[in-house]
Amino acid sequence: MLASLLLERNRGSYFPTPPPIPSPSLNSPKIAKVETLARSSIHHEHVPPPRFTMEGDGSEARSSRRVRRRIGGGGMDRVSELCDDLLLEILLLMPLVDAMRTAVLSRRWIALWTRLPQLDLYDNRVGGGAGGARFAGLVDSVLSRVAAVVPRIPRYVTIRVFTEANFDAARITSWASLVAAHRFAVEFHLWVEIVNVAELDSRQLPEEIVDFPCFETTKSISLCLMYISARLALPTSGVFASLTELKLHIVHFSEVAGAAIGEVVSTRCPCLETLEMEKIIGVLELTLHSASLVHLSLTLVKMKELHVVAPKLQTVTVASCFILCNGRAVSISAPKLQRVRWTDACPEQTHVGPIERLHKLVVGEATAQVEWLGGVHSNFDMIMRHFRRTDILELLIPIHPEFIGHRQLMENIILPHHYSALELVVEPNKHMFGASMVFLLRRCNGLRALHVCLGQRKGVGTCLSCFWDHTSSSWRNETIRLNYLEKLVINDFNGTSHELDFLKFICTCVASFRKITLIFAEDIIPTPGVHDKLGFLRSKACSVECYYIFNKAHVRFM
Amino acid sequence: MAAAEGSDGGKMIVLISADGQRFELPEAAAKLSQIVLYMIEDGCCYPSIPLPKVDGVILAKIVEYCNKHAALSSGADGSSDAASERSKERELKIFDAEFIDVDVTTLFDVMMAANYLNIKGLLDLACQRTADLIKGKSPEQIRQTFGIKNDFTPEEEAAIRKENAWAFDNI
Repeated sequence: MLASLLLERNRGSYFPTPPPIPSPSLNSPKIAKVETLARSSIHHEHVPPPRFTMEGDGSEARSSRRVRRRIGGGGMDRVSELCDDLLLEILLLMPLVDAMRTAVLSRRWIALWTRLPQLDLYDNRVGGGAGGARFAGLVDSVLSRVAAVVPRIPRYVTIRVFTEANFDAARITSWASLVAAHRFAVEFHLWVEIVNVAELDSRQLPEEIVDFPCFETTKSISLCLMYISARLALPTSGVFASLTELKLHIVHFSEVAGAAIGEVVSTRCPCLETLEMEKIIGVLELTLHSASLVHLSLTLVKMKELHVVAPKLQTVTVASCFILCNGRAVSISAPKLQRVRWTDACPEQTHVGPIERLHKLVVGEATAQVEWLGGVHSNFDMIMRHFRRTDILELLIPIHPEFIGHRQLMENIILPHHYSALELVVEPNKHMFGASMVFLLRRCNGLRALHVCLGQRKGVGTCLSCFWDHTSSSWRNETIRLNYLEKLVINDFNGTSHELDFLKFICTCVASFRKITLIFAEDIIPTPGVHDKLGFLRSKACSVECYYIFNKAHVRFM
Repeated sequence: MAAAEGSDGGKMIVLISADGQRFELPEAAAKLSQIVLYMIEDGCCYPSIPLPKVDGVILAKIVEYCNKHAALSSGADGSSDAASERSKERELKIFDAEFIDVDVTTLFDVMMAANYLNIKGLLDLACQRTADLIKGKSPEQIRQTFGIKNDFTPEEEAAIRKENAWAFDNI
């Protein structure tokens, strides 16, 4: 019971992004244009004439397709007359075991299932209990049967193991090897998602190695090895010649593989464009030299060093990696970078090479999963020191009661030299953010666009930001000059007096707005009182748009 | 004739079945068939569109499906709020379930016609219904449902069952 509860929870929250379920379109209906109308026939051309006729007047049955037959008994076999594409389409709509069982219906059906383009092998969909032997036997049987089909059919293969009894590293290795060796997988997804109940009692399980083979023709691979004693090993030879996308979630690398992953990606994945690694243990240093890499995302990868040389790289995400183990060094040489999202600590030795034109830099607190680290923050100042030019800067400003050092953080933030739009995302949780924001804006006098996203309204309490706001409430009467500011967008407005004060404040700082957009938080309808208080916006000589959201639709009220 | 104005002012399309029956339906409903859509676009829909492969009984059902789906598709009555969208979706789901709850002969006639006329939603619905009739059933039950003749010798059948043994464990 506990195990199943854990599993349920695990599926819900640990995996926000399950592997994509491809939907190969087998059967885009086969009739194209008017000219084909005359030629097409309802019956597929190779379909044999009905094998059975009714007792009695057989000629009538032959002459008219439209003779109705009741189901059961000796009716005509219409389903077997369907063309292969339609039958495969139908077989795709049921679990694989059901499709396999149709082999025994008649000769027409015997090998149909072996031509299915999508093979979903999930142990929780194989009935008859969670017996390990049964699921393993099924996977063995399916993979060896489809591997023998000639000509080779490109397939989307997904194997998911949820039950502890079905975890067998050697067996999983053999499946992966078979799929790799027969080169029939366009995509290969292997997801082991087991919460070890045993983990609570004994952490001393012997390591079990899953040996990952080289997939020479596969384009996309995703891999999750969530099992306490599972370790991933990588192939020592071979080229992933077609691989464009590699996603690793919850993987504990073996010692050797952890040191080799960078080399594998750098030298044996010549067309890899997307590399995603999330919740990874065993990779202390990651060095990537890739001529093809375009997107790199690292989340909760427990590493000390990261070195990237990637001339085509466009987007980089670093989230809560270095904060886990006191990161030591980072070097990034990627002149084509367009977007950087950094919500992590910034190691002392960080070097970022020249970037032609960074479009957007997002800097924020390490993710909520490491909130227990309390006062350790993301070194906003150091990150921004390394990316000094960007078109858009987005700051995710942490405002929550546990956060100490708020004022110091605000003071430390060094704004880049060149940027035209500032996006401030705060999650005030009803806290007071005014003093903090004004403190920042004092240093932004070249700003052209300001986007304030107020985030969700959740807990209530007093935090240091509130405290600061109370002790320096004079910001309301202050005037700072934002002479170049043209556009203001505020999202998730709640209409509190604090927010209204902030809005008024901004409006007094700006000489010539061109556009102000105000969007209320979902399902908050402005009261007549708030309406009145927003009235001052009408006197602004610029375009003003105010919306509230009702039933997911934007409703403009001003 | 085919381009006559309907009661609501929209264009009407006339379809003629194999047995000469005449069905008039709004253009928006007729366009759910990709092939009729092409004919309308090419101006080949006057005065009527003959469908020599579909007989009247089945065409009547197809027209019923298209009318319902066109009438309830989003924005048909100008309203677009989420609550009414959801209730329309529910209504369509109930309609679909009842619509496809037919004997297998009719099911396959509808499927073939949907394939021929290229009405994706209806083809998917018929395929799903067929899959539901196969799912979780023993081979004997499936053969009986669809009238499939077992053309294996008992020895052959035993061999195939053995080969796919893992799929037969719990049936």
